[in-house]
Amino acid sequence: MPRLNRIRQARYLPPLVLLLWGWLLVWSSVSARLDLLLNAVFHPVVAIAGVVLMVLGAVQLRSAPRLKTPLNPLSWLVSVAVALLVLLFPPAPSFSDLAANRSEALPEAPRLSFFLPPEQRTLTEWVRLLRSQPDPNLHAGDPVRISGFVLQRPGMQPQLARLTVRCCLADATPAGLPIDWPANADPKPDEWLAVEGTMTTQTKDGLLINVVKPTTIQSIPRPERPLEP
Amino acid sequence: MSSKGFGSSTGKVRLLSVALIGLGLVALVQQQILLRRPPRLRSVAIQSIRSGAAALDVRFSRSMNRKSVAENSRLVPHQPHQWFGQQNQFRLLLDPGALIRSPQRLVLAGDDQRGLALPNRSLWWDPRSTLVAVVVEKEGEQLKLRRRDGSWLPLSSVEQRILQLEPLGNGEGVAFVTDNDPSQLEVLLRKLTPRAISDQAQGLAEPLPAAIQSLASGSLLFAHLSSNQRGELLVQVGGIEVGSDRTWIRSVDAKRRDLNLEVAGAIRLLPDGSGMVVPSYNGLDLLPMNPDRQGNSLQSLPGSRELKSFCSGSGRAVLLRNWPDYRRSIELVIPGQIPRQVWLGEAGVMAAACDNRGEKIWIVLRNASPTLRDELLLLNSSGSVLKRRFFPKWYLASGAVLDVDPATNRLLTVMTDGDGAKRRAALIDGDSLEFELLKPQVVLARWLPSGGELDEFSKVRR
Repeated sequence: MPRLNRIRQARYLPPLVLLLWGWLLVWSSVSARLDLLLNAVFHPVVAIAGVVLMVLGAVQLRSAPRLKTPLNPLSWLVSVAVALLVLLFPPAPSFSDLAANRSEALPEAPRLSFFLPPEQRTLTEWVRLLRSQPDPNLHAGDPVRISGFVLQRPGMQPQLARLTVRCCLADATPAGLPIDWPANADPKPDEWLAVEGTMTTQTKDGLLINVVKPTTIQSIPRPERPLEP
Repeated sequence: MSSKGFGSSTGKVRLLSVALIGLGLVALVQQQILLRRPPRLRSVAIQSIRSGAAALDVRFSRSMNRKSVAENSRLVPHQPHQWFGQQNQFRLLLDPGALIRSPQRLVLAGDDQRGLALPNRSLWWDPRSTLVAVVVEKEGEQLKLRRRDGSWLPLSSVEQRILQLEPLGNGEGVAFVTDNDPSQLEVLLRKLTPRAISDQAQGLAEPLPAAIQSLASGSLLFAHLSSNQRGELLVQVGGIEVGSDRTWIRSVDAKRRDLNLEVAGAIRLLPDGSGMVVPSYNGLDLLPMNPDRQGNSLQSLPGSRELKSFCSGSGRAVLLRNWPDYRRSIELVIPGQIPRQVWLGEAGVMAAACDNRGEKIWIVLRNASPTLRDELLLLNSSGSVLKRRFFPKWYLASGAVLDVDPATNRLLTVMTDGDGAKRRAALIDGDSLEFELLKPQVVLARWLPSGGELDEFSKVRR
């Protein structure tokens, strides 16, 4: 009880919590933690919000002696605990699990053309091209050089995929390409791979589809910015 | 708070609650009505970028079951075809081997993802290209369109000479260059209204001539035209004065965009509308539609090469390469791969063309010994000769191109007899290479692609 009373006297608690959260937001923006969660366009917004919180915290800290004791210091302490958890456990989302439960309705793509050399297309650009030009024979024989994570959907062959986001992981939409995995390949969900090969056609369930036939498959680290706009 | 005030507040809360419940009920009723509403057909458009004989892009009001659409829709008369796509956008693709000799009736049916049936809908579609030609008349030359019954429809007045003919890739017009006085060329555009798709059988017909428009005139020494499948038109003109060369692109909505390019020849627009092939002093350059010579978007293919034909919009093309030892080769260019040589020899290459996928390549060769004769070769993409035939007593006319109509698998060109007195449009079967000469005397002949879109089935969008 005496300890709780001391906490209740803690006039410095609210400004310190504001400073902590402000610093957390700024640090998350600077340390690329947000790259896993949020479209890069919105990173400055988070950083600015962090700076605003820190300024508010600093102003409150100056006038702390004159402040009233916080009404419910326990809620401020819970907030501190959450901030510490965010610091201690960096985000490590499973893109495969997330993508497997999302619809594949990609946002309306800008008009893609055959002008871009095929080997320079990203995985997302390939998926968008195949949707805007769903005629598999138009793409057969084109060289492919893509990277992505292994997406494993229940009962289906693993695909190589990327997540596209307009804002953040909450609206992430998977863009996946079927791969004709070699017999010795063992793709594991969430593993990041770079694949070079050729776009081929295969008939699956009576439908002609495009499938990437790899010539080389290389394991790569997760890119710094794995989400695509 | 007085009891009166309290009673008033309670009344307001009750009113608000009733309003919210009412709105909720309206939303619920609307949701239930929409849930039970059958899917609708939103638009149907002729797609010119395709690997097969013909293609239609079909858009529904909601996500459809592709398998159900494929099983329940049909083409009359039957043609081998496949359905591609997902969600609410599908593509009907007729197989490359489909030979279209008459208009098609498409009966669209199928279920959406929730099992609600699309009300059956019939459409009529004629994917065959239309022949346009510069026909020789008594007083000069005239641009004409050949109707399905074989009669000819004039598209221009009789001119002294018509030097070039360029159908717009979306089928909505024909551009041509007239020469009525020395150094006085004029670039004209005859606009056309395509009628290749309709929701009524009697709505199908040859394109309807609309206004004629002058794009350039005056003291011009040369004029060159190129169009893409979006219907954009590139115009290159130049006069006697140094620096009088002008190049611009006329967009589909008739806006002019000037290009500031130094070129060494005639520019060709890529069929899919994404760029252009520009001859330079070092070879061929591939530029985007908004070219920036300073930027890094330039792609080059060095060597003495000449673009002969695009393989529709698939990104493939056939090039002629001139070697220092006077030999010539034909190369198939596939994006991302080094050019593939499919023929090499000393004969003159008069024209070349390829099918949509670059799997069939036609070349007209001219041999001078022992006697002058033209030969048409049909090659596959590996360079193997599939078929060859000579044209006895007939020769490809100077400057004639080989134009392919994938829907009918027919090539179109212009041929002359030995002394050049007769000059006829020739229709050549793409497989058997049998040819048929049309009667009128012509100078130039090209296919005008079929085009058009039905939007909400109330009007044709142009």
